[in-house]
Amino acid sequence: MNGDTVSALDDAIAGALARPARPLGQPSSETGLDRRRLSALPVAAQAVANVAPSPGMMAASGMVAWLGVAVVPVYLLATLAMVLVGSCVAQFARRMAAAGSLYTFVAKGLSPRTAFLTGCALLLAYLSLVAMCLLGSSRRLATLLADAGLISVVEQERTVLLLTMLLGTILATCVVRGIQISAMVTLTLEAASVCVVLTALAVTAYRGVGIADTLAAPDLTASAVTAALMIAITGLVGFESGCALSVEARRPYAVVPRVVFWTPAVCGALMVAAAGLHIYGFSRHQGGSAVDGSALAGRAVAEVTPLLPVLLQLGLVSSLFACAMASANAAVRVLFSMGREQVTPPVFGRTHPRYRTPYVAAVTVIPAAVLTPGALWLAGLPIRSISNALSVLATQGFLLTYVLVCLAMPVFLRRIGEHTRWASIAGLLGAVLLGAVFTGFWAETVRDGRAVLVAVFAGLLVLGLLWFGRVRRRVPDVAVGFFDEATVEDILPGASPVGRG
Amino acid sequence: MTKPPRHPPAELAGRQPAAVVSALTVLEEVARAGPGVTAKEISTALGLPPATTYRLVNLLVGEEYLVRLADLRGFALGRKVIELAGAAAREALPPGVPEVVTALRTRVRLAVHLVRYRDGRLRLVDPDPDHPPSPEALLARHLHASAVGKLLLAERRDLWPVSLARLTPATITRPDLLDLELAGVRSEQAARQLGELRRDRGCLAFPVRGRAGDLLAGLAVSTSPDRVGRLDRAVLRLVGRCVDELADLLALDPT
Repeated sequence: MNGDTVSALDDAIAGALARPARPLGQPSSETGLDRRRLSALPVAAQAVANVAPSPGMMAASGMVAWLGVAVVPVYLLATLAMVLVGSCVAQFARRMAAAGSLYTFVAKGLSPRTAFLTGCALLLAYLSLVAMCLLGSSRRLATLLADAGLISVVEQERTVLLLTMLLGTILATCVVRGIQISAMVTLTLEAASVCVVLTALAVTAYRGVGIADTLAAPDLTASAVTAALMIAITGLVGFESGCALSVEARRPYAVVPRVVFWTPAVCGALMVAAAGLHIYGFSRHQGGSAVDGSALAGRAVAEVTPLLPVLLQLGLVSSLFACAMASANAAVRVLFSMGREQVTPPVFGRTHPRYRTPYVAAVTVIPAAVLTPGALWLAGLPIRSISNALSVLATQGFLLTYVLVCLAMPVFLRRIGEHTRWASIAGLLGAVLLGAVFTGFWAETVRDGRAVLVAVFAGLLVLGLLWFGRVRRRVPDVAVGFFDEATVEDILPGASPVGRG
Repeated sequence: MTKPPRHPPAELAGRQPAAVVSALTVLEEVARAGPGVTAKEISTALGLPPATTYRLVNLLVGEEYLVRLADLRGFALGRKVIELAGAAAREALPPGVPEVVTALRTRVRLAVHLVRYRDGRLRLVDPDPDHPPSPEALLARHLHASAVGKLLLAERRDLWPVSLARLTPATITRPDLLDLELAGVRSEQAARQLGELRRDRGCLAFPVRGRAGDLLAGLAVSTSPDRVGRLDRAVLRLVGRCVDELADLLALDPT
């Protein structure tokens, strides 16, 4: 580079080549996971599956019936908001690999207590999503079985619960058996689901379907657009779960930030595409009556071929199962991080010697997520309202986490001396925007007469904080924010700050 | 030590070719300043705008040329930097090795080359200065045509070339014949090549193994193809002794 003189870089390389390759170093504090093995595609699949675009794409039909063409800018705005959050998360992901994902990120920017609050909200979000998606998956399977005449309608609810247990067992097995397996299952199911849904939507759009007069009179009041924007935003949460695999990913500092930035963008684009197909279908349709959107699409699909609705249902089943899997993978890694930090019982930090997964966390929380809806059903709640409640809990968890991670980002950058003006603006804007959505969502939930769900959410977080207070009283200097530090293995021999020479 | 270039390319957008120069300058600065240097310090030292510097260091961390240290502020050179040196980097040989090889060169009237194997890659670490061998890239690309390549292939079936190119009429291009040849290499613990890489050159190569029997290096003697098969017993004994000495010296060297 610099003519004849030996550069410092040349010198470092020559020094490295003359040195023993692998001196023993401190292991990373997240050792035990299958470090640096996963390629980029499964990491992307984890993030996309957690967003689960397929059900949202089907539901886009309802949004179109409601808002008409205005649904496209609404989706675009929602996508922009989530990409903003994604860019905030990416600032962390470029700089550290942590299985605890946003929990650990917030720990690096805000106080340990806030971090633990974030961790609890995130865990609650993921576990609610696991339960909700397994229920949804089972409900669709049970409907297929009932349609085929294999079970009677009376038995349906019980079948749903049995199927949930079965799917939960499969899920837990995959999660424990290794990230390679569960990531591949997630990837396959999600890809298949998106393909099926896109095909079905394209076919129905081509055939022409829907309610000709809906497009003429869309409800375009400010409150309707705000409500729609909120629905669209909540349909895009979950993209951050790619971070949970950052310890296991190859080249995490390049792959994970790209995944968290592009996942909301791609999922948003899928929503827009789906909305476009719905609009096209509606505009081609002659006559018809206003019905619930997705039922409508389903009926139209059935007109094309009797096989397509079955395929479509199976596509949604697999998407929901993939979403449950991705959420479970992320949840057990958050709990694993907490276990390693000993803010939860250390046993959660234990990894399987062969499969290299946090198996104790997995066999604890997945059954809990599966059995809770079962218990509520036995207590007399119908499955549909259990599902709805779980969805509200999950959304609250995600939104709160996003607000906090946006706030933490500029502080973190300032702490490590890498802050820029744009990063601060992005963090603040994200926090304000998501804060507004979060408050709006709470207001909406209370207005719908479901204040109890807000109380449950807040109550669980308070319990979490009480727990953290107890831990702090016992171990006053308990440390949070463990991540996968660079080991001597990653550093050029001779260029390590410790043991030079 | 060298000073960093005083005039870093102005207004780097990260997409321009000039960004590559800047990235290398950043690496150079980390090497100069030593581990633990922060992004802000790099930015000041190079006179690069902070935002550009942060983008560059994060890019370099993403590609693993730099490593962010555990305090999240400081940086060190990554292991991957070695790859920058590529094939051009001469491996530093453990003490004693060049002397042993040179001694053999003076005693046998043959070309003597030493190759090392690491991570399935062949490196020509001590080629005979008086009788230069075929270029390393050619050897590495056509493992089936050279004696040192066959030593490696006999151990590592996964390195089988995509196509068995015919370099000379004598090159083995049939997979079944090559398999047979490699079985021979394994049983005799020696590989030969008779005008298969170049018509006028033949070669005999012996494996240098570590204590665990792992293939560390290959010592090759080269001459005309018709002489390779008729080497003097005394010469072979000298070569064999050299292989043993090399095994001892290289086994001490953990690289």
